[in-house]
Amino acid sequence: MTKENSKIPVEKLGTGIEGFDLISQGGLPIGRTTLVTGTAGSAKTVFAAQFLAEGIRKSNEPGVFVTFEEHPSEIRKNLLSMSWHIQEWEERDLWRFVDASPQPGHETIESGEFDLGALLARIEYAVRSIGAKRISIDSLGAVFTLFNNATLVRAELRRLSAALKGMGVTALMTAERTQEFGEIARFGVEEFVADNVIILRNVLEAEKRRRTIEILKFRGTTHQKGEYPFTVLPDQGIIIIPLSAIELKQRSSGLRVPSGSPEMDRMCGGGFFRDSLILVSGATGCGKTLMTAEFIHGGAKKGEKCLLFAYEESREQLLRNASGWGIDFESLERNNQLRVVCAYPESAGLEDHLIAIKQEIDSFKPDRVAVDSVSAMERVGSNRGFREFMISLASFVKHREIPGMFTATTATLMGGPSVTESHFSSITDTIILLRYVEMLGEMRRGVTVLKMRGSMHEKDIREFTIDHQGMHIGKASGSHFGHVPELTRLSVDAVCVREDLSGDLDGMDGTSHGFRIGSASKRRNRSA
Amino acid sequence: MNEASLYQFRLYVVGDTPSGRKARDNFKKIREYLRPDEVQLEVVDILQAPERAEMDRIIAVPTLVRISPPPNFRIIGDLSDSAHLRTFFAIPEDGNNKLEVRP
Repeated sequence: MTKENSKIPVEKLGTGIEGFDLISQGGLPIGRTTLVTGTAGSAKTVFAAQFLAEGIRKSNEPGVFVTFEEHPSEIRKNLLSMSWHIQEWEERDLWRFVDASPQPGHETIESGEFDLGALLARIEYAVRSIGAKRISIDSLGAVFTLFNNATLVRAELRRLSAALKGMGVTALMTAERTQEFGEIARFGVEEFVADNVIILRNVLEAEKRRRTIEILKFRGTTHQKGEYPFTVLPDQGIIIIPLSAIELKQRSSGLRVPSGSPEMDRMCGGGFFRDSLILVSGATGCGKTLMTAEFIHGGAKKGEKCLLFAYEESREQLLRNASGWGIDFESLERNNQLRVVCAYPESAGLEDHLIAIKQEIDSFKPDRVAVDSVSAMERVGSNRGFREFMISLASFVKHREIPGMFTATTATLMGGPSVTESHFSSITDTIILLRYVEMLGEMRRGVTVLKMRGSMHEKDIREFTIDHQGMHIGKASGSHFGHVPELTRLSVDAVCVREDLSGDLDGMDGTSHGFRIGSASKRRNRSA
Repeated sequence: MNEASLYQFRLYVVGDTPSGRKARDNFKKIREYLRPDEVQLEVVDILQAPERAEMDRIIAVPTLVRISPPPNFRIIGDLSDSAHLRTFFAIPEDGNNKLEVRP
C-alpha cells in the first residue's frame, strides 16, 4: 500500500551531498527507501548523517536518525568533526534521534513472541513531532544482532519499510557487507527493504585506499552507472567526484590572453585562448617551471589574479628561482595578485588534492591558474585514479573559463612519452614541448608549439635560452637542428583516452584524436 | 501496594494486541510466586506515551522491564517460555510449585 500516484514518474529529493545529486540525476527517489551498503569503514554512517545534515543546512528539512549501533552521544561527538552541530539542531527540532543502540549492563532475555512495534511507534512519533522529511536508519545489520530470531527481524524490517512509505518520508538505510565484491549486504536485507541500492566501496588498490560510490539500482528511474570516487573531508563530509557526469557546456571564446612571452604569443598565433588548457611537456630542468612563472608574470602584468600550485618544489625554492628569473613572486603575493600553494603530492590522496585545488580556485577566483607539475601526482594514485584526476581537473578549470597551464615531466631526459601526456593530451587545447636538443654538437633547449586548437600556429622548433631575465625564445632554427628523436615518437604519445571533449576545431589536423606527427618534412609542409 | 514495593515492573505494549494481553495474563501467574502484595506493575502503552519508550529505549513489544530491585532486567516477548521465566525470577521447579504460563 503506497500513497504514490502511479501516473506520476518517480520524483527525486536533492540530497545536497556534493556530487551525489549529479550522479543520481537529482537525488534519492522521494518517499522511498534507499539502501546504502558497504564494508566496515566505508563511510556509511557519515553518508546517512550527511543526508540529514544537508537537508537541514540547505533546505531546512527536519530529519530523524535511528541508530542501532552507536549511541547518540557518540554520533554527536564524531560528527562534530564535520562541523555538524547536531545538538543545536536537536534543540531547534530539526534533528531527532531514535536511540535503539545496545545498552551495556542491561541484560535482555527473550520469552515468547514479540514484534518491533515499539520501534515503529517511536519512529512514527519522532517523524510526526518534528515534521521530518528525511530519515536515516543505521544500520540494519545491527538489528539482527539484537535478537535471536532472524526470520522475525526480517519480517519486521519489511513492515518498517512499508510503514515508512506511509509516513511520506524519504528513507535511507545502511547495511553491512562482508566483502567489497559479492553479496550486496549481510542477511540479504536488500531483498525486502529497498527499491534502491547504493554501494560504498573502500578498496585497497596499488597500496592506496580508494573510496568509490556506485548506484546499483533505482527502481523506476534513471541514474549514472558505474563507480565514482569520493572522499571524506573534515568540515565537509562526503564529496563525490562526478567524472563522466560532468556536463560539457563550457563555451569557447576567441579571446586571447598573453602567454607571458611575446615570442611565445607569436608562436601561438597571438597568445593563448582565454578558456584553454595548455600542457607544457618537458624533461626535468628543461624550463617548465620557468614557463609557468612567465605565464603568471604575464597575467600579473595585465593586472590579473594568478593561482599557482607547486608540487615539485618548496615555497622557498620556488620564490628563489623566480627571483632568479627576475620575477618577484613575493611582492605579487603581497598585492593579492598571486597565490602560491605548495604541497607534497604524497601528503594526501588524489581526491583530496583535487578538492583542495577546486576550493582554492573557488575562493581565490584567479584569472589564470598553473599547476607545476601534474605529473608529480602520478605517484600518488593508481593509473586509473590519476586519469580521473586529470580529467576532472581539466574540466573544472575549463568551466571557470580561465586559462590553465599544466606541466608534465617526461620520464626520460630526452623527452618521450609520459603517462600525463597520454591521459591529458587529447583534452588540452594547446601543447607546448620543451626539449633538450642536439645542435651542432651541443645540447641546447628547444621549444615548439605542437598543437593549438582553433588557431594557426608556428610549427618551427625554436631555440631558447634562460638567464636572469627569464626565458628568451630565439628565431626558428630551421635546418640547424639535428636529430630530435622524441618528436618522431609522439604519434604514439597521443593515445586518445577520451573522445575530443569540447568538439572544437582541432588546429592541427582536424581530427578528434589529438595530434599526429609523422616526420619532420611533413610538419614543414603543413606549416602555416 | 505501596511505594516501597520489593518488586517494580514496567510492561511496554503497543495498543491492545494479543501478544500484549498474553503478556499481562502470564505476568499475573508469575506474580503469584513473588509475594503478590509486594509486586508493582505499570503498563505503558507506547501509542499513548511514546516518549517513555524513548527514555527506556524500547524496541520490541511486549517488553517487561524490572525497575527494582536492580539491576535493570528486560524480558522481550509474551512471557510464554516458562523455562526462561523460572531462571529469571528464580522460581524453583518442583511438583507442587509448577509455573504454568499460557503458551
